[in-house]
Amino acid sequence: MTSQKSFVHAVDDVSFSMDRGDILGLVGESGSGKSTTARLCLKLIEPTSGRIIFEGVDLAKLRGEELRGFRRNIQLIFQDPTASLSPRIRIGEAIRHALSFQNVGTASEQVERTRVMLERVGLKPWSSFYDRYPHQLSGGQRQRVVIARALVLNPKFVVADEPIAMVDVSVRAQILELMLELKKEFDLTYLFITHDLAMANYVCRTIAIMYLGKIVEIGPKEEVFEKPLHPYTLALLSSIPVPDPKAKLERIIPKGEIPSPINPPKGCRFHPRCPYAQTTCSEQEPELEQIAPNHRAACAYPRT
Amino acid sequence: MPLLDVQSLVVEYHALKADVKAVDRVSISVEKGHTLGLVGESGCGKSTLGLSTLRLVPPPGRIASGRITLDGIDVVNCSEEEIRRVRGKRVGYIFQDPMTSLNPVKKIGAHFVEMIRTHEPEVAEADALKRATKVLGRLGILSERINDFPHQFSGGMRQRVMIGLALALGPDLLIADEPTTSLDVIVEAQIIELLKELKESLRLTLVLITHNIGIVAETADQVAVMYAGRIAELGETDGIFAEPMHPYTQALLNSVPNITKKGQVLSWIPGAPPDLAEPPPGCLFHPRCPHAFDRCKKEEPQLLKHNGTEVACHLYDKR
Repeated sequence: MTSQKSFVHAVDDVSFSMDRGDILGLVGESGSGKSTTARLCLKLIEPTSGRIIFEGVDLAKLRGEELRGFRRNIQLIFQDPTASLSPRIRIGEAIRHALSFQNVGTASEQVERTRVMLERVGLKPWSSFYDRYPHQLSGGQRQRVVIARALVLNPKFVVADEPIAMVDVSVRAQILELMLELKKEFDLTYLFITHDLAMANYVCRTIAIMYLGKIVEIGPKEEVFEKPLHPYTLALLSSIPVPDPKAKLERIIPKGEIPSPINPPKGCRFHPRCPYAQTTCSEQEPELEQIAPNHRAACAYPRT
Repeated sequence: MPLLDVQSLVVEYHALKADVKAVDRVSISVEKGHTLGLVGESGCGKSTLGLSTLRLVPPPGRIASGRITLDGIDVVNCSEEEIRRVRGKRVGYIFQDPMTSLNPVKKIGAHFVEMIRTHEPEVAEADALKRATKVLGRLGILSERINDFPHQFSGGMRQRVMIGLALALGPDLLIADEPTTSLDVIVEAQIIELLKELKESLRLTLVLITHNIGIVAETADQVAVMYAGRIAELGETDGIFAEPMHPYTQALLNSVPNITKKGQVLSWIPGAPPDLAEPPPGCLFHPRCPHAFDRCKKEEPQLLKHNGTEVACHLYDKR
């Protein structure tokens, strides 16, 4: 799918597919297009061209009531729970609203489902939390409310945009474990958007690395993290801080900064910063091709 | 004599319910040329501690008691004039979030001119701009950019500008509050490498305030772990990472993913930090501590030396 917003090539000819039950991590830095891609999956933004096929149906073609019906199957979890929850609505009501908006069940059925969901995300007993306002909860608890609201509709597909970025470090793994447990219980498929490679490594099965609107590498996490092919992936991996003072860090820091997506470089978008760039890299844009089993990279000179 | 010496500092915020001790009897000491990593999560008091070293705690916060000595100067009791001379000139401060710290309607050059001429009014504007260009050049920013506004810089560049402003007057001590949070991974690595290099070449003393354990492991000589306004553990970086003693430190280190460790199982700390307006009795960490016993619920632990590290935990207090 492609998206053009005022000539910013936010997401340029991005294609990928996900099997049911997969956990795909869309990893990239600012301007990579990962958040835009996530929003396109839910059609929160209009694609300029391309298809978004969910269970055989092209969402790009749906409108109005039909789209709304489909949206029940796909839910989004944003990174900032404080911004996602209205400060004036009690959290129980905020969750119940997700059901009432989709006209699911009677009011009392909705309340019951909300109570069950609150406890399922660890906010027990529900009676202690239902009537609280967001400011009366910790960051981690607020994020649980956001998760509860996303899952109370029993969606099949959940897009999580930096779900733990604003949660305290010592509580992050708890939220991730909760999301993994809920995945098993509700048979969910997850698309994780993140810049946090260590987190992506911990939780995802498949990793797609994005740079300036394109997927530059995609494959099973073991492949991408242990045998990276694209120079940008190598640079990313070498930049992650390691919580071990004895670790030997061999950093590959690409020169310069990420250019503006308004005028991406010709040829391979990464070539001006790539330590291994050759002449052809500035002329020809590489295709995302299979280099190793199940492992694709968009590079004319992959680091094998 | 240490460059920065904090003794039993107490910083309080006057709140509706009670007086909250954002920093409660904290003592830290940084020798010239060393780097101290001040680590902790939301509400631990690390930012407040950083601000208090320059008497920058905003009201209703105030330094209630304790001593802060900065290269011989008594920060808590010196005159307003004296502390103003210290800020910028002896100590450079990098504030959290470069976007809100820079004036959006002032060019970058103007930021530097203001900084320099506040302390050295005799310096002509042209000369101040020359100095700014030099500092920024050192940080990888082209001289023309002196005439740009903050919004014209990327996040990483703005952070370099902040570092430049902090270093413009040639301070000996740099305090950096979350210098890389909100930056992209590669930019973060660039800034860390830059700070390491500046440390070397300028013989800087650095206090790095952050929740990011990874960058502390990489840059700090000593680590102070804070929890709910107090120091939980304080010691050499190698020791703290190899053998963390305080249950909070242990849990914190176990909750951070290490991409070099295969098959790592991350843990977490149940619950949340205490409400400092109504703190629990005894050890502030006890409600979340897997090793808490009777004494922990009644008696506050003292910070005591154990195997070369200071730790505030009854598990190590055999008295």
